[in-house]
Amino acid sequence: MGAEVKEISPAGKAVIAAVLVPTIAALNYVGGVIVEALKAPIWGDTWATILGTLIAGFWVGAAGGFLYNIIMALTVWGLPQWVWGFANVVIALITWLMMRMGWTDLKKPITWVMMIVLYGLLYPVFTTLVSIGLFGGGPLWKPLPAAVYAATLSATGNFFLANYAQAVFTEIIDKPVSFIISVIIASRIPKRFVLAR
Amino acid sequence: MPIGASLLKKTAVEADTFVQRLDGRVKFLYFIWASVLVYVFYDPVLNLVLLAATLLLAAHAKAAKPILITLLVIIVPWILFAVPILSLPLGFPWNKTVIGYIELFGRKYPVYLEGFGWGLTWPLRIAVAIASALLFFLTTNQAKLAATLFKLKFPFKVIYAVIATLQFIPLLAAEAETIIQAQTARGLRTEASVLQRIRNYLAVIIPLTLSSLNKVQVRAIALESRGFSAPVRKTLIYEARLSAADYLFLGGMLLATLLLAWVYVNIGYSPISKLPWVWAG
Repeated sequence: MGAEVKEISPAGKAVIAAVLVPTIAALNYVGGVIVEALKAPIWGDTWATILGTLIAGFWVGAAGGFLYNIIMALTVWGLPQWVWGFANVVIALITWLMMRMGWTDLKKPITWVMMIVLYGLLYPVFTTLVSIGLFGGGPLWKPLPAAVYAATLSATGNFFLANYAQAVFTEIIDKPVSFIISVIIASRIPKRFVLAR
Repeated sequence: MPIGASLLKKTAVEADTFVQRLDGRVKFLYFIWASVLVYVFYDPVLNLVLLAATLLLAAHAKAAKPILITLLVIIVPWILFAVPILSLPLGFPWNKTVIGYIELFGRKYPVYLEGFGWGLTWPLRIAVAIASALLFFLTTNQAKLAATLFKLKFPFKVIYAVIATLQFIPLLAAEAETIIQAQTARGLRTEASVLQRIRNYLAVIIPLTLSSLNKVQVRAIALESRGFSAPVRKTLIYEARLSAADYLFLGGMLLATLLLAWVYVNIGYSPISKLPWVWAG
């Protein structure tokens, strides 16, 4: 009794990483499906990118997230939407930064502050630029963000600010919640799957 | 289950038609060609013509129904939402040309051409991109898809990742359904507070993630046993080759490209609708 239990991984880490990439892409997709089924108040299609980065590092998370967007662009979203793959790369990059800086402990206030700043305020700058530059900007087809867009535009007359306000409104809850979900799941994952050090 | 899941659960439509017989590269090129064209021009009528052509090909290939359903779910609500907001005074900063008036709550509001054109053209661009992508996806089976990507010189690991994702999605979607059913039997309700709905999400997503990560190990061993990382030349079950029908289709696309290039140079970027230029249009 009391003997240390060692987890043995018969397959090489490179192959596990190769299999993790499509798994993360599929989990991102199914996450979005579950959100709709359970009427959860988030988008739910980037949490697996965050999880992939937490357990297997930046490249696996970014590749899984990017692949998810490519598959969606090639099927249900339309080709131009592949550009959102870079949004998943940015998400993976922010997550990697949070990991490196030690901001993954949910008990620390700095984790919550940086989570809001990086995912909620900085990340929407990127999505706003893509949204306006490639898709013309304008209101989203969800009523609440569209109302935020219309209200900001009528108050300021600034098209760019209206789009940014709309993006912040959609991301400031979604991405931090996705991060929290991923941190909780990552803490429960068997060690043999944790490739990131 | 939303449209996306049911769509990606479908494998390619197996029928012996002209479209199915076309090489995957030709259909992929058509998808890129149509998607680029709708962005080069700024004309909703031209977008509708390309959409109709793509839907005709899909109907011939017996794949029109899932495409039409997808467009109905994604594009139609988008148009219904964007057009009224953008074409009214406060929705679009480049509004200038009044094309009519609409009465709302006892007041008359002008309807602007710039916002109306924008709100119609952008969703229709995406509609063409979606329809042509689905035409490729639904008429090319996975063996042919792998061969197509191989011929397009994609790295083997990328091809594996794409094909594996398409295989995993229906498997994980089915597993998620089972977990939701099991949790519902234990009292999980969707009509709950926001916080409770996030907790419900965790209750489904945690077992799903752990189960799929367990399968990662099995898949990795299976791949290793088939020499996945062996430094040898990989072979495929299906060899992609261009036929006379492929060359005929490519010839048609070339002719259409030449015609449209002439139209662009001599008539302009909005040859049928004559929409005024707006920023990022």
